[in-house]
Amino acid sequence: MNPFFLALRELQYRWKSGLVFVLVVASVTGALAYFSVNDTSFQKEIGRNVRDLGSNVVILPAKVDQYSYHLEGGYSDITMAENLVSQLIEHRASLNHLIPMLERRAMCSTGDRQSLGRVVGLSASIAMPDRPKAPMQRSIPSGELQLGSALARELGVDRDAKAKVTIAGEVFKVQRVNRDSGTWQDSAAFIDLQSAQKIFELPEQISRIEAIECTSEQCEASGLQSAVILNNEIAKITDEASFLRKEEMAQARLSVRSVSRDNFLMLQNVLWVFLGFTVLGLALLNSLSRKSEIGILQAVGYGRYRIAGLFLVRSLLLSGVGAATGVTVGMLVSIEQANSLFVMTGQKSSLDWTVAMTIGAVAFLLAVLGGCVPAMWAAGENPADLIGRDS
Amino acid sequence: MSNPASLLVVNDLGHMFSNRGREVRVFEKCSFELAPTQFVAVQGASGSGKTTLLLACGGMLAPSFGEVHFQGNNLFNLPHSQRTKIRAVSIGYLFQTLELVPYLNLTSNVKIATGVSSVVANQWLDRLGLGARCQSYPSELSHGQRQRVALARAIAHRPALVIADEPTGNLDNQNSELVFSVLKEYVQDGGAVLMATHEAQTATFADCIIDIENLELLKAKAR
Repeated sequence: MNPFFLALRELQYRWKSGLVFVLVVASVTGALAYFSVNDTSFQKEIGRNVRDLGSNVVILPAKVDQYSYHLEGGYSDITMAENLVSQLIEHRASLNHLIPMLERRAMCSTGDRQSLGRVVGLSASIAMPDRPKAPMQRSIPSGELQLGSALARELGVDRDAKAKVTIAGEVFKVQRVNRDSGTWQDSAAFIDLQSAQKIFELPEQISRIEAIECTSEQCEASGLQSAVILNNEIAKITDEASFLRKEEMAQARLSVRSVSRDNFLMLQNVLWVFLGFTVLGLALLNSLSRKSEIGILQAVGYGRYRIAGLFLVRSLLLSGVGAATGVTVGMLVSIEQANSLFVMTGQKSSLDWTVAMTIGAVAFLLAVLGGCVPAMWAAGENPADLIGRDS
Repeated sequence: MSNPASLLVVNDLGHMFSNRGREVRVFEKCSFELAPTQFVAVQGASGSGKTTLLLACGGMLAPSFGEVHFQGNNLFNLPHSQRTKIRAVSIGYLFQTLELVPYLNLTSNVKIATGVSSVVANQWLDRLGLGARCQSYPSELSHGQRQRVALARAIAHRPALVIADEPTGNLDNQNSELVFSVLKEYVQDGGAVLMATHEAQTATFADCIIDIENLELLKAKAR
């Protein structure tokens, strides 16, 4: 008799136990799928949040005296060659989101009002070729300008007004007035790098490069501290630059990422183990509760593999339906929640087919082990030892 | 020396089990032979070991001592898979507890025996007075009706030996006669039957009677 027919008949007869199996598998696989997608979304959101904290590495001309630099609020008139950016990229330095800047203190004026401001020319953030990322800093169009909030108040520029600001004889249209940041940026005006180099007559010169370090893998591999790795790398590339590491920010970035990653990894592992025990346990219980039936089938001549096949079909059908339901519902709920939970990156959440296939495959494998192995073992016994011995 | 024409040869068979550390001997030194067209009844009171003897003869329970030869093969020297094959083709077993599959209708319950088609299954059910109940499930039948379904399953694939454990237990006279007539016909058609019963009256239908309780009578009494 066809094992599919027998398995379907048995499921029809014991539909309650089948339903429990499906519900349990669906719940666990659903939770697993939910947390897997949620984890991916969470990592994206954390990544975005951490990125928005800003740069944690500043590369300055070697001649800059760091005491004076900090005394001036992180400012220096000394410049270095812009091509250091290309060199860093060429040597695959452990950095990303490189933003070259040129800055000068200059008079900014709007009609009848004028004020001294920190004018910063910057380019869009540059990603390393092998570490493509969404830009941390977008480019400012030539001829336009972004105003810090305090400077805007000094110049009498409203957030919504379409004002124009003149710097070193060059007129810039105000693109936007930035929100209060609580830093020196509130008294700065931001323009594109080329315009700054032109108005300050410093072609191909920059004051500094801001960047984010990418040294975590090397730190793990070599045991060296991030600062040592960066120092060695920059020393190999040029002797005209040095670097500052914003220690607390750098540590916060590493810590937030690793804590969130480890936390979700642990949660996922717990769910995997729970899924394993659940599917194995349910399939095992089913096999043990049907010892008599195995005995009857043996008595009428069913061999070990034929009997195991019956239990396999049952387990596969139930775990298949359970896993498909669980994974689909878990992922959809997670994506739906991500839209409201993760403000900046939630819209980018999508179905993760690799996770879905992995969860499905593991549920199937466990069902095979849990359903077949005890059935094969029971089918190796003498029928008389099984009949009337249901657990 | 056993007769080479014998279908089943039982040599010095004995079985024991342990109960709370105490050794319990069910029966011992049981020997008999069964020819291809013989109807043999094993008689004895409840608990005398009839079921155990029949299970051993059907290759379903390894005895503690002795040998069971079926169609020339020492059953318990064969690998498990080969013993299963012999049961599938050459032995039909009617359990005292019937052991029907609860989720299959009567036709399918008979069809799980090897090589039985729906037509053949229904013919046997019809022969046993259950023609109108082919689509019913075991839970919808009386004990007597279930007993007849179990007999149909044991006999439908036309095995060389039908082993029937108390085939008429709990049956009324009319149904008992029907069951015996089917078994007798089966023997006349070339099959062999080994039956266990606790009723002396029932045993009289058989060609030979083996009294399992009295070793003196274990040499089968010819009728």
